[in-house]
Amino acid sequence: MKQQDIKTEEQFMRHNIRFCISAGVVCLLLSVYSLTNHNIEEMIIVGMSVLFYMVVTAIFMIKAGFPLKMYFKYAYKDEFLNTIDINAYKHTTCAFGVCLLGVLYNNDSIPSEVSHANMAIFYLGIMILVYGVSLLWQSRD
Amino acid sequence: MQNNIAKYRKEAGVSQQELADAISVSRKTISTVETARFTPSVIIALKIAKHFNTSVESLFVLDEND
Repeated sequence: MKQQDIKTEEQFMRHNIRFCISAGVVCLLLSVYSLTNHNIEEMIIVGMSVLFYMVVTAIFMIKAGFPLKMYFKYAYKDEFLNTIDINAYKHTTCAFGVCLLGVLYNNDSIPSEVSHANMAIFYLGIMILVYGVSLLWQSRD
Repeated sequence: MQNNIAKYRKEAGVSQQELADAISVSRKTISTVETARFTPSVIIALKIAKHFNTSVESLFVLDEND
């Protein structure tokens, strides 16, 4: 295994952590914000913010210059990175399960006008955020 | 499980990155193994032992709980 591959994987992991945490926060903010009362002007501001975030992320991903195959690989060559990645998936699954149980338990207190799209963005935000935070926590020095 | 990797590394005057480069792992691997937060595979243990020209038993010490 080439050392350059390991260094690329380390960079990719750092990139992944930053991306997941920021995307998770944006998804959660979006889902929570959409539950509150708001007018059309505020919706435009939120929409523009999300669009700006997506553009910045796209530029960031292109400028990072990782090989395209890295985005579609499900395992790291480095043993430690692979282990923390698997652990992060487990944490994500647990968080999703807790989230589902929480929603099931508090079913009556959720307003009926909350759409499936809102809930889907909420679940997505939780999962991405937990994945990113788990990786960040496990890879600390 | 405790280990003496940090001690061997400092005696040899090698940084974590240099050791990681020598055995083809990430620096985080060395960092977390030294702090006993990650238990490496036999392959990595043997590579570290070989790098310091010592045995695996002298690098890794079992606790009473292990």
